[in-house]
Amino acid sequence: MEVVNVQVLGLFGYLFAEVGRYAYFVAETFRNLFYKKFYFLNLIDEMNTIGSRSLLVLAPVSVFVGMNLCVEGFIFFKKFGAQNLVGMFVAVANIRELSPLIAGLITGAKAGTQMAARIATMRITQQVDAMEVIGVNPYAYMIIPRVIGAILVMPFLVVVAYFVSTLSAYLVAVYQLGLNGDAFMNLVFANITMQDMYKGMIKGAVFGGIIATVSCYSGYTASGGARGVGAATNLAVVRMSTAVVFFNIFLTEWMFM
Amino acid sequence: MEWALHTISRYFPFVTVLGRMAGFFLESVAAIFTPKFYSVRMLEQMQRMCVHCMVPVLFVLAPMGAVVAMESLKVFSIFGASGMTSSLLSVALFRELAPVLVSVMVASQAGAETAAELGAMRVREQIDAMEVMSVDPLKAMIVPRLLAGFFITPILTLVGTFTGILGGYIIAVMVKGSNSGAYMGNLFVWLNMMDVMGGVIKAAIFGLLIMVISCHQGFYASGGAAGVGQATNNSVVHSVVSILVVNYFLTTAFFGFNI
Repeated sequence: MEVVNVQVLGLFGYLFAEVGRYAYFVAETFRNLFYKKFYFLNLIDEMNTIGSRSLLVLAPVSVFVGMNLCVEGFIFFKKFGAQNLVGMFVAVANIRELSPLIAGLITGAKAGTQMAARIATMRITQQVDAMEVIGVNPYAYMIIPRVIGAILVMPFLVVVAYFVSTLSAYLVAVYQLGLNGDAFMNLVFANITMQDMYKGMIKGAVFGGIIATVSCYSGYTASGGARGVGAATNLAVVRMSTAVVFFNIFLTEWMFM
Repeated sequence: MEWALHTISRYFPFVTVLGRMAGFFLESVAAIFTPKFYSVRMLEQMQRMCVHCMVPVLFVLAPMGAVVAMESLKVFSIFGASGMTSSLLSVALFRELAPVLVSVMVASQAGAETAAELGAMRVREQIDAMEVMSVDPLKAMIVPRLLAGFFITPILTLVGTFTGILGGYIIAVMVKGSNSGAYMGNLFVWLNMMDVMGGVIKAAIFGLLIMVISCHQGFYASGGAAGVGQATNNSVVHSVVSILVVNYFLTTAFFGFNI
Protein backbone atom coordinates (compact mmCIF):
# COMPACT_ATOMS: atom_id res chain seq x y z
CA MET A 1 0.00 0.00 0.00
CA GLU A 2 2.81 2.30 0.98
CA VAL A 3 4.64 1.59 -2.26
CA VAL A 4 1.51 2.20 -4.31
CA ASN A 5 0.92 5.49 -2.54
CA VAL A 6 4.47 6.59 -3.13
CA GLN A 7 4.26 5.67 -6.79
CA VAL A 8 0.93 7.38 -7.33
CA LEU A 9 2.10 10.46 -5.48
CA GLY A 10 5.28 10.43 -7.49
CA LEU A 11 3.35 10.19 -10.75
CA PHE A 12 0.98 12.99 -9.88
CA GLY A 13 3.77 15.09 -8.45
CA TYR A 14 5.71 14.65 -11.68
CA LEU A 15 2.65 15.49 -13.75
CA PHE A 16 1.83 18.65 -11.83
CA ALA A 17 5.45 19.73 -11.73
CA GLU A 18 5.73 19.34 -15.49
CA VAL A 19 2.49 21.21 -16.14
CA GLY A 20 3.64 23.99 -13.84
CA ARG A 21 7.00 24.27 -15.54
CA TYR A 22 5.30 24.29 -18.92
CA ALA A 23 2.97 27.07 -17.78
CA TYR A 24 5.97 29.04 -16.54
CA PHE A 25 7.67 28.51 -19.90
CA VAL A 26 4.60 29.75 -21.80
CA ALA A 27 4.31 32.77 -19.51
CA GLU A 28 7.97 33.56 -20.04
CA THR A 29 7.46 33.28 -23.80
CA PHE A 30 4.58 35.75 -23.64
CA ARG A 31 6.63 38.12 -21.53
CA ASN A 32 9.45 38.05 -24.02
CA LEU A 33 7.05 38.78 -26.84
CA PHE A 34 7.53 42.42 -25.91
CA TYR A 35 11.29 42.19 -25.64
CA LYS A 36 13.07 45.22 -27.06
CA LYS A 37 14.30 43.27 -30.07
CA PHE A 38 12.06 41.22 -32.34
CA TYR A 39 13.93 38.88 -34.65
CA PHE A 40 11.83 39.29 -37.76
CA LEU A 41 14.18 37.43 -40.12
CA ASN A 42 14.16 34.43 -37.79
CA LEU A 43 10.37 34.47 -37.93
CA ILE A 44 10.38 34.40 -41.74
CA ASP A 45 13.00 31.66 -41.71
CA GLU A 46 11.01 29.53 -39.26
CA MET A 47 7.77 30.03 -41.20
CA ASN A 48 9.55 28.88 -44.34
CA THR A 49 10.98 25.84 -42.57
CA ILE A 50 7.74 24.79 -40.88
CA GLY A 51 5.57 25.37 -43.93
CA SER A 52 7.68 23.92 -46.68
CA ARG A 53 8.91 20.88 -44.75
CA SER A 54 5.46 19.94 -43.44
CA LEU A 55 3.75 20.59 -46.76
CA LEU A 56 5.83 17.98 -48.56
CA VAL A 57 4.70 15.39 -46.01
CA LEU A 58 1.18 16.64 -45.45
CA ALA A 59 0.03 16.71 -49.08
CA PRO A 60 0.73 13.02 -49.89
CA VAL A 61 -0.68 11.92 -46.53
CA SER A 62 -3.87 13.94 -47.06
CA VAL A 63 -4.40 12.17 -50.37
CA PHE A 64 -4.54 8.81 -48.65
CA VAL A 65 -6.59 10.08 -45.70
CA GLY A 66 -9.26 11.41 -48.05
CA MET A 67 -9.29 8.21 -50.09
CA ASN A 68 -9.60 6.10 -46.96
CA LEU A 69 -12.36 8.27 -45.53
CA CYS A 70 -14.39 7.96 -48.72
CA VAL A 71 -14.06 4.18 -48.84
CA GLU A 72 -14.98 3.81 -45.16
CA GLY A 73 -17.99 6.10 -45.45
CA PHE A 74 -19.17 4.23 -48.52
CA ILE A 75 -18.94 0.85 -46.77
CA PHE A 76 -20.78 2.13 -43.71
CA PHE A 77 -23.56 3.93 -45.58
CA LYS A 78 -24.07 0.99 -47.94
CA LYS A 79 -25.42 -1.02 -45.01
CA PHE A 80 -28.63 0.99 -45.15
CA GLY A 81 -28.59 1.72 -48.85
CA ALA A 82 -27.62 5.36 -48.51
CA GLN A 83 -24.31 5.15 -50.33
CA ASN A 84 -25.06 8.27 -52.34
CA LEU A 85 -24.89 10.25 -49.10
CA VAL A 86 -21.17 9.56 -48.72
CA GLY A 87 -20.43 13.14 -49.79
CA MET A 88 -22.08 14.42 -46.63
CA PHE A 89 -19.99 12.12 -44.45
CA VAL A 90 -16.79 13.13 -46.23
CA ALA A 91 -17.62 16.84 -45.94
CA VAL A 92 -18.48 16.83 -42.25
CA ALA A 93 -15.76 14.46 -41.08
CA ASN A 94 -13.08 15.93 -43.29
CA ILE A 95 -13.60 19.66 -42.94
CA ARG A 96 -14.51 19.73 -39.29
CA GLU A 97 -12.36 17.10 -37.70
CA LEU A 98 -9.95 15.15 -39.78
CA SER A 99 -8.08 17.78 -41.79
CA PRO A 100 -7.14 19.99 -38.82
CA LEU A 101 -6.21 16.93 -36.80
CA ILE A 102 -4.08 15.35 -39.52
CA ALA A 103 -2.42 18.68 -40.27
CA GLY A 104 -1.65 19.04 -36.57
CA LEU A 105 -0.28 15.53 -36.18
CA ILE A 106 1.86 15.72 -39.32
CA THR A 107 3.21 19.18 -38.53
CA GLY A 108 3.91 17.97 -35.02
CA ALA A 109 5.70 14.90 -36.24
CA LYS A 110 7.73 16.76 -38.83
CA ALA A 111 8.31 20.34 -37.70
CA GLY A 112 7.69 19.86 -33.98
CA THR A 113 10.18 17.05 -33.52
CA GLN A 114 12.67 19.00 -35.56
CA MET A 115 12.27 22.01 -33.27
CA ALA A 116 12.65 19.82 -30.22
CA ALA A 117 15.73 18.04 -31.58
CA ARG A 118 17.41 21.26 -32.66
CA ILE A 119 16.76 23.16 -29.43
CA ALA A 120 17.76 20.13 -27.36
CA THR A 121 21.01 19.85 -29.31
CA MET A 122 21.68 23.54 -28.67
CA ARG A 123 20.92 23.07 -24.98
CA ILE A 124 23.15 20.03 -24.62
CA THR A 125 26.09 21.48 -26.49
CA GLN A 126 25.65 24.57 -24.26
CA GLN A 127 24.88 26.91 -27.13
CA VAL A 128 21.90 28.28 -25.19
CA ASP A 129 24.14 29.18 -22.27
CA ALA A 130 26.60 30.77 -24.67
CA MET A 131 23.75 32.78 -26.16
CA GLU A 132 22.78 34.07 -22.73
CA VAL A 133 26.39 34.93 -21.98
CA ILE A 134 26.77 37.07 -25.08
CA GLY A 135 23.56 38.87 -24.20
CA VAL A 136 21.10 37.41 -26.70
CA ASN A 137 17.74 36.55 -25.22
CA PRO A 138 17.16 32.88 -26.17
CA TYR A 139 13.38 33.20 -25.87
CA ALA A 140 13.23 36.13 -28.25
CA TYR A 141 15.84 34.62 -30.56
CA MET A 142 14.59 31.08 -31.01
CA ILE A 143 11.35 30.32 -29.13
CA ILE A 144 9.11 33.21 -30.17
CA PRO A 145 9.83 32.97 -33.91
CA ARG A 146 8.97 29.27 -33.80
CA VAL A 147 5.75 29.74 -31.83
CA ILE A 148 4.46 32.65 -33.92
CA GLY A 149 5.59 30.96 -37.12
CA ALA A 150 3.65 27.79 -36.28
CA ILE A 151 0.54 29.80 -35.37
CA LEU A 152 0.68 31.76 -38.63
CA VAL A 153 1.49 28.84 -40.93
CA MET A 154 -0.80 26.11 -39.59
CA PRO A 155 -4.12 27.56 -40.92
CA PHE A 156 -2.76 27.47 -44.46
CA LEU A 157 -1.57 23.90 -44.05
CA VAL A 158 -5.11 23.07 -42.93
CA VAL A 159 -6.47 24.66 -46.11
CA VAL A 160 -4.10 22.56 -48.20
CA ALA A 161 -5.28 19.47 -46.34
CA TYR A 162 -8.93 20.41 -47.06
CA PHE A 163 -8.41 20.71 -50.77
CA VAL A 164 -6.13 17.73 -51.25
CA SER A 165 -8.23 15.32 -49.21
CA THR A 166 -11.57 16.41 -50.69
CA LEU A 167 -10.15 16.11 -54.19
CA SER A 168 -8.80 12.63 -53.52
CA ALA A 169 -12.12 11.61 -51.95
CA TYR A 170 -13.83 12.82 -55.13
CA LEU A 171 -11.46 10.79 -57.30
CA VAL A 172 -12.08 7.65 -55.24
CA ALA A 173 -15.85 8.20 -55.28
CA VAL A 174 -15.90 8.53 -59.05
CA TYR A 175 -13.25 6.07 -60.22
CA GLN A 176 -13.18 3.41 -57.51
CA LEU A 177 -16.72 3.40 -56.17
CA GLY A 178 -18.54 4.50 -59.32
CA LEU A 179 -20.65 7.27 -57.79
CA ASN A 180 -21.87 10.31 -59.69
CA GLY A 181 -19.23 13.01 -59.41
CA ASP A 182 -21.54 16.03 -59.67
CA ALA A 183 -23.92 14.67 -57.04
CA PHE A 184 -20.95 13.98 -54.76
CA MET A 185 -19.59 17.50 -55.04
CA ASN A 186 -23.05 19.00 -54.61
CA LEU A 187 -23.48 17.08 -51.36
CA VAL A 188 -20.05 18.18 -50.18
CA PHE A 189 -20.80 21.83 -50.82
CA ALA A 190 -24.29 21.59 -49.38
CA ASN A 191 -22.97 20.33 -46.06
CA ILE A 192 -20.10 22.71 -45.40
CA THR A 193 -20.18 26.43 -45.00
CA MET A 194 -17.48 29.05 -45.10
CA GLN A 195 -17.87 29.24 -41.31
CA ASP A 196 -16.83 25.61 -40.96
CA MET A 197 -13.68 26.23 -42.94
CA TYR A 198 -12.74 29.31 -40.89
CA LYS A 199 -13.35 27.35 -37.72
CA GLY A 200 -11.12 24.56 -38.94
CA MET A 201 -8.42 27.11 -39.66
CA ILE A 202 -8.78 28.51 -36.13
CA LYS A 203 -8.40 24.96 -34.83
CA GLY A 204 -5.24 24.68 -36.89
CA ALA A 205 -3.83 27.88 -35.41
CA VAL A 206 -4.51 26.65 -31.86
CA PHE A 207 -2.86 23.32 -32.67
CA GLY A 208 0.13 25.18 -34.09
CA GLY A 209 0.53 27.12 -30.84
CA ILE A 210 0.29 23.92 -28.77
CA ILE A 211 2.76 22.07 -30.96
CA ALA A 212 5.35 24.83 -30.99
CA THR A 213 5.23 25.61 -27.26
CA VAL A 214 5.24 21.95 -26.20
CA SER A 215 8.11 20.95 -28.45
CA CYS A 216 10.17 24.05 -27.63
CA TYR A 217 9.59 23.35 -23.92
CA SER A 218 10.69 19.73 -24.28
CA GLY A 219 13.80 20.73 -26.17
CA TYR A 220 14.62 23.65 -23.88
CA THR A 221 14.56 21.51 -20.73
CA ALA A 222 16.58 18.62 -22.20
CA SER A 223 19.52 17.21 -20.29
CA GLY A 224 22.03 14.40 -20.71
CA GLY A 225 24.09 13.64 -23.76
CA ALA A 226 23.03 12.16 -27.08
CA ARG A 227 20.47 10.11 -25.18
CA GLY A 228 18.91 13.31 -23.84
CA VAL A 229 18.30 14.69 -27.32
CA GLY A 230 16.47 11.53 -28.32
CA ALA A 231 14.48 11.51 -25.09
CA ALA A 232 13.47 15.16 -25.55
CA THR A 233 12.30 14.50 -29.10
CA ASN A 234 10.33 11.47 -27.95
CA LEU A 235 8.69 13.36 -25.08
CA ALA A 236 7.87 16.26 -27.38
CA VAL A 237 6.01 14.18 -29.91
CA VAL A 238 4.07 12.19 -27.32
CA ARG A 239 3.10 15.26 -25.31
CA MET A 240 2.01 17.28 -28.29
CA SER A 241 -0.05 14.62 -30.00
CA THR A 242 -1.83 13.92 -26.73
CA ALA A 243 -2.41 17.62 -26.14
CA VAL A 244 -3.66 18.20 -29.70
CA VAL A 245 -6.23 15.41 -29.53
CA PHE A 246 -7.27 16.47 -26.04
CA PHE A 247 -7.83 20.13 -26.90
CA ASN A 248 -9.64 19.12 -30.09
CA ILE A 249 -12.62 18.03 -27.99
CA PHE A 250 -12.96 21.45 -26.36
CA LEU A 251 -12.54 23.27 -29.66
CA THR A 252 -15.21 21.08 -31.27
CA GLU A 253 -17.57 21.62 -28.38
CA TRP A 254 -17.00 25.37 -28.49
CA MET A 255 -17.25 25.86 -32.25
CA PHE A 256 -19.55 23.27 -33.75
CA MET A 257 -22.09 22.39 -31.08
CA MET B 1 16.83 17.89 -69.03
CA GLU B 2 18.58 19.55 -66.15
CA TRP B 3 15.45 19.72 -64.04
CA ALA B 4 14.51 16.11 -64.80
CA LEU B 5 17.89 14.87 -63.58
CA HIS B 6 17.59 17.13 -60.56
CA THR B 7 14.15 15.72 -59.69
CA ILE B 8 15.25 12.13 -60.16
CA SER B 9 18.35 12.64 -58.08
CA ARG B 10 16.20 14.08 -55.30
CA TYR B 11 14.18 10.90 -55.11
CA PHE B 12 17.14 8.57 -55.54
CA PRO B 13 18.02 8.50 -51.81
CA PHE B 14 14.44 7.55 -51.04
CA VAL B 15 14.64 4.43 -53.21
CA THR B 16 18.03 3.57 -51.73
CA VAL B 17 16.65 3.82 -48.20
CA LEU B 18 13.67 1.63 -49.13
CA GLY B 19 16.00 -1.03 -50.49
CA ARG B 20 18.24 -0.91 -47.44
CA MET B 21 15.22 -1.16 -45.17
CA ALA B 22 13.94 -4.20 -47.05
CA GLY B 23 17.35 -5.83 -46.72
CA PHE B 24 17.43 -5.00 -43.01
CA PHE B 25 13.96 -6.49 -42.54
CA LEU B 26 14.85 -9.71 -44.38
CA GLU B 27 18.04 -10.07 -42.35
CA SER B 28 16.15 -9.69 -39.09
CA VAL B 29 13.47 -12.17 -40.20
CA ALA B 30 16.28 -14.61 -40.95
CA ALA B 31 17.70 -13.89 -37.50
CA ILE B 32 14.38 -14.88 -35.89
CA PHE B 33 14.61 -18.41 -37.25
CA THR B 34 18.30 -19.10 -36.60
CA PRO B 35 19.42 -20.28 -33.17
CA LYS B 36 20.13 -18.16 -30.10
CA PHE B 37 16.79 -16.51 -29.49
CA TYR B 38 16.79 -13.93 -26.67
CA SER B 39 13.34 -14.68 -25.26
CA VAL B 40 13.84 -12.84 -21.96
CA ARG B 41 14.77 -9.69 -23.82
CA MET B 42 11.68 -10.06 -25.95
CA LEU B 43 9.47 -10.27 -22.86
CA GLU B 44 11.27 -7.25 -21.42
CA GLN B 45 10.64 -5.24 -24.55
CA MET B 46 6.98 -6.30 -24.62
CA GLN B 47 6.51 -5.21 -21.02
CA ARG B 48 8.25 -1.89 -21.58
CA MET B 49 6.24 -1.19 -24.70
CA CYS B 50 2.95 -1.97 -22.98
CA VAL B 51 3.74 0.17 -19.95
CA HIS B 52 5.15 3.13 -21.85
CA CYS B 53 2.48 3.27 -24.55
CA MET B 54 -0.55 2.66 -22.36
CA VAL B 55 -0.94 6.17 -20.97
CA PRO B 56 -0.63 7.98 -24.34
CA VAL B 57 -3.03 5.49 -25.91
CA LEU B 58 -5.65 6.05 -23.21
CA PHE B 59 -5.23 9.81 -23.34
CA VAL B 60 -5.61 9.94 -27.11
CA LEU B 61 -8.37 7.42 -27.75
CA ALA B 62 -10.79 8.64 -25.08
CA PRO B 63 -11.01 12.23 -26.46
CA MET B 64 -11.16 10.86 -30.00
CA GLY B 65 -14.16 8.66 -29.18
CA ALA B 66 -15.75 11.62 -27.42
CA VAL B 67 -15.32 13.86 -30.46
CA VAL B 68 -16.73 11.26 -32.87
CA ALA B 69 -19.72 10.74 -30.56
CA MET B 70 -20.28 14.48 -30.35
CA GLU B 71 -20.21 15.08 -34.10
CA SER B 72 -22.25 12.02 -35.04
CA LEU B 73 -24.84 12.75 -32.36
CA LYS B 74 -25.35 16.16 -33.94
CA VAL B 75 -25.53 14.84 -37.51
CA PHE B 76 -27.72 11.83 -36.73
CA SER B 77 -30.19 13.82 -34.65
CA ILE B 78 -30.99 15.77 -37.86
CA PHE B 79 -32.47 12.52 -39.19
CA GLY B 80 -33.94 11.62 -35.80
CA ALA B 81 -31.61 8.63 -35.57
CA SER B 82 -29.53 9.62 -32.57
CA GLY B 83 -29.52 6.02 -31.37
CA MET B 84 -27.13 5.19 -34.20
CA THR B 85 -24.36 7.24 -32.63
CA SER B 86 -22.87 4.30 -30.82
CA SER B 87 -23.11 1.96 -33.82
CA LEU B 88 -21.14 4.41 -35.97
CA LEU B 89 -18.70 4.99 -33.12
CA SER B 90 -17.92 1.32 -32.55
CA VAL B 91 -17.54 0.55 -36.26
CA ALA B 92 -15.31 3.59 -36.78
CA LEU B 93 -13.22 2.77 -33.73
CA PHE B 94 -12.74 -0.92 -34.45
CA ARG B 95 -11.95 -0.45 -38.11
CA GLU B 96 -10.14 2.83 -38.46
CA LEU B 97 -9.57 5.10 -35.53
CA ALA B 98 -8.18 2.68 -32.98
CA PRO B 99 -5.64 0.94 -35.26
CA VAL B 100 -4.46 4.20 -36.83
CA LEU B 101 -4.32 6.38 -33.72
CA VAL B 102 -2.86 3.66 -31.51
CA SER B 103 -0.21 3.02 -34.13
CA VAL B 104 0.54 6.73 -34.36
CA MET B 105 0.95 6.85 -30.59
CA VAL B 106 3.10 3.69 -30.60
CA ALA B 107 5.21 5.29 -33.32
CA SER B 108 5.65 8.46 -31.33
CA GLN B 109 6.31 6.74 -28.01
CA ALA B 110 7.89 3.33 -28.59
CA GLY B 111 9.21 3.98 -32.08
CA ALA B 112 10.89 7.25 -31.17
CA GLU B 113 12.22 5.67 -27.99
CA THR B 114 13.68 2.78 -29.97
CA ALA B 115 15.30 5.10 -32.48
CA ALA B 116 16.74 7.28 -29.73
CA GLU B 117 18.08 4.31 -27.78
CA LEU B 118 19.62 2.49 -30.71
CA GLY B 119 20.93 5.75 -32.15
CA ALA B 120 22.62 6.63 -28.86
CA MET B 121 24.13 3.13 -28.70
CA ARG B 122 25.38 3.42 -32.28
CA VAL B 123 26.82 6.89 -31.74
CA ARG B 124 28.65 5.80 -28.57
CA GLU B 125 29.92 2.71 -30.45
CA GLN B 126 28.23 0.26 -28.11
CA ILE B 127 26.87 -1.68 -31.07
CA ASP B 128 30.37 -2.08 -32.48
CA ALA B 129 31.48 -3.26 -29.05
CA MET B 130 28.72 -5.87 -29.07
CA GLU B 131 29.85 -7.12 -32.45
CA VAL B 132 33.42 -7.35 -31.18
CA MET B 133 32.19 -9.48 -28.28
CA SER B 134 30.48 -11.68 -30.90
CA VAL B 135 26.96 -10.86 -29.74
CA ASP B 136 24.83 -10.45 -32.84
CA PRO B 137 23.10 -7.05 -32.42
CA LEU B 138 20.34 -8.08 -34.79
CA LYS B 139 19.40 -11.00 -32.56
CA ALA B 140 19.96 -9.26 -29.25
CA MET B 141 18.30 -5.93 -29.98
CA ILE B 142 16.35 -5.81 -33.22
CA VAL B 143 14.43 -9.11 -33.18
CA PRO B 144 12.92 -8.61 -29.68
CA ARG B 145 11.69 -5.15 -30.67
CA LEU B 146 10.20 -6.29 -33.96
CA LEU B 147 8.30 -9.11 -32.27
CA ALA B 148 7.18 -6.83 -29.45
CA GLY B 149 5.79 -4.36 -31.97
CA PHE B 150 4.05 -7.12 -33.86
CA PHE B 151 2.37 -8.63 -30.80
CA ILE B 152 1.74 -5.65 -28.52
CA THR B 153 0.19 -3.13 -30.94
CA PRO B 154 -2.98 -5.27 -31.49
CA ILE B 155 -3.45 -5.60 -27.73
CA LEU B 156 -3.07 -1.87 -27.26
CA THR B 157 -5.53 -1.39 -30.10
CA LEU B 158 -8.20 -3.40 -28.33
CA VAL B 159 -7.60 -1.49 -25.10
CA GLY B 160 -7.82 1.76 -27.03
CA THR B 161 -11.07 0.73 -28.68
CA PHE B 162 -12.76 0.17 -25.36
CA THR B 163 -11.38 3.44 -24.06
CA GLY B 164 -12.87 5.20 -27.06
CA ILE B 165 -16.26 3.60 -26.49
CA LEU B 166 -16.05 4.72 -22.86
CA GLY B 167 -15.18 8.27 -23.92
CA GLY B 168 -18.12 8.28 -26.30
CA TYR B 169 -20.37 7.03 -23.49
CA ILE B 170 -19.25 9.82 -21.20
CA ILE B 171 -20.05 12.47 -23.80
CA ALA B 172 -23.22 10.99 -25.31
CA VAL B 173 -24.92 9.79 -22.14
CA MET B 174 -23.53 11.83 -19.27
CA VAL B 175 -22.96 15.19 -20.98
CA LYS B 176 -25.43 15.28 -23.87
CA GLY B 177 -28.06 13.20 -22.07
CA SER B 178 -28.98 10.58 -24.65
CA ASN B 179 -30.37 7.27 -23.44
CA SER B 180 -27.90 4.91 -21.79
CA GLY B 181 -29.77 1.75 -22.79
CA ALA B 182 -30.01 2.85 -26.40
CA TYR B 183 -26.28 3.58 -26.43
CA MET B 184 -25.32 0.17 -25.06
CA GLY B 185 -27.94 -1.67 -27.10
CA ASN B 186 -26.91 -0.20 -30.43
CA LEU B 187 -23.23 -0.56 -29.78
CA PHE B 188 -22.62 -3.76 -31.75
CA VAL B 189 -25.52 -3.63 -34.21
CA TRP B 190 -23.48 -2.91 -37.33
CA LEU B 191 -20.33 -4.62 -36.15
CA ASN B 192 -19.27 -8.07 -37.31
CA MET B 193 -16.28 -10.21 -36.54
CA MET B 194 -14.52 -9.22 -39.75
CA ASP B 195 -14.33 -5.61 -38.58
CA VAL B 196 -12.66 -6.60 -35.33
CA MET B 197 -10.23 -9.01 -36.97
CA GLY B 198 -9.46 -6.54 -39.74
CA GLY B 199 -8.59 -3.87 -37.19
CA VAL B 200 -6.39 -6.23 -35.20
CA ILE B 201 -4.51 -7.45 -38.29
CA LYS B 202 -4.07 -3.86 -39.43
CA ALA B 203 -2.61 -2.97 -36.05
CA ALA B 204 -0.17 -5.91 -36.18
CA ILE B 205 1.04 -4.83 -39.63
CA PHE B 206 1.41 -1.23 -38.48
CA GLY B 207 3.34 -2.34 -35.40
CA LEU B 208 5.80 -4.31 -37.50
CA LEU B 209 6.15 -1.39 -39.92
CA ILE B 210 6.84 1.09 -37.11
CA MET B 211 9.46 -1.10 -35.52
CA VAL B 212 11.24 -1.87 -38.80
CA ILE B 213 11.43 1.83 -39.66
CA SER B 214 12.54 3.03 -36.25
CA CYS B 215 15.05 0.20 -35.70
CA HIS B 216 16.53 0.92 -39.12
CA GLN B 217 16.76 4.64 -38.42
CA GLY B 218 18.34 4.12 -35.01
CA PHE B 219 20.65 1.29 -36.05
CA TYR B 220 22.24 3.31 -38.84
CA ALA B 221 22.30 6.70 -37.08
CA SER B 222 25.47 8.76 -37.33
CA GLY B 223 26.81 12.14 -36.30
CA GLY B 224 26.71 12.65 -32.53
CA ALA B 225 23.85 14.11 -30.53
CA ALA B 226 22.39 15.93 -33.56
CA GLY B 227 22.37 12.64 -35.48
CA VAL B 228 20.37 10.94 -32.74
CA GLY B 229 17.81 13.73 -32.82
CA GLN B 230 17.64 13.50 -36.60
CA ALA B 231 17.13 9.72 -36.43
CA THR B 232 14.31 10.10 -33.91
CA ASN B 233 12.65 12.79 -35.99
CA ASN B 234 12.94 10.73 -39.18
CA SER B 235 11.60 7.59 -37.52
CA VAL B 236 8.46 9.38 -36.29
CA VAL B 237 7.78 11.09 -39.62
CA HIS B 238 8.38 8.02 -41.75
CA SER B 239 6.30 5.79 -39.47
CA VAL B 240 3.32 8.15 -39.35
CA VAL B 241 3.35 8.68 -43.11
CA SER B 242 3.65 5.01 -43.92
CA ILE B 243 0.88 4.12 -41.43
CA LEU B 244 -1.54 6.55 -43.04
CA VAL B 245 -0.59 5.50 -46.58
CA VAL B 246 -0.70 1.75 -45.97
CA ASN B 247 -3.99 2.16 -44.11
CA TYR B 248 -5.87 2.99 -47.32
CA PHE B 249 -4.69 -0.16 -49.06
CA LEU B 250 -5.42 -2.33 -46.03
CA THR B 251 -8.91 -0.85 -45.71
CA THR B 252 -9.64 -1.61 -49.35
CA ALA B 253 -8.17 -5.10 -48.98
CA PHE B 254 -10.01 -6.08 -45.80
CA PHE B 255 -13.35 -4.30 -46.00
CA GLY B 256 -13.75 -3.32 -49.62
CA PHE B 257 -14.14 -6.75 -51.19
CA ASN B 258 -17.92 -6.62 -51.52
CA ILE B 259 -18.40 -3.09 -52.86
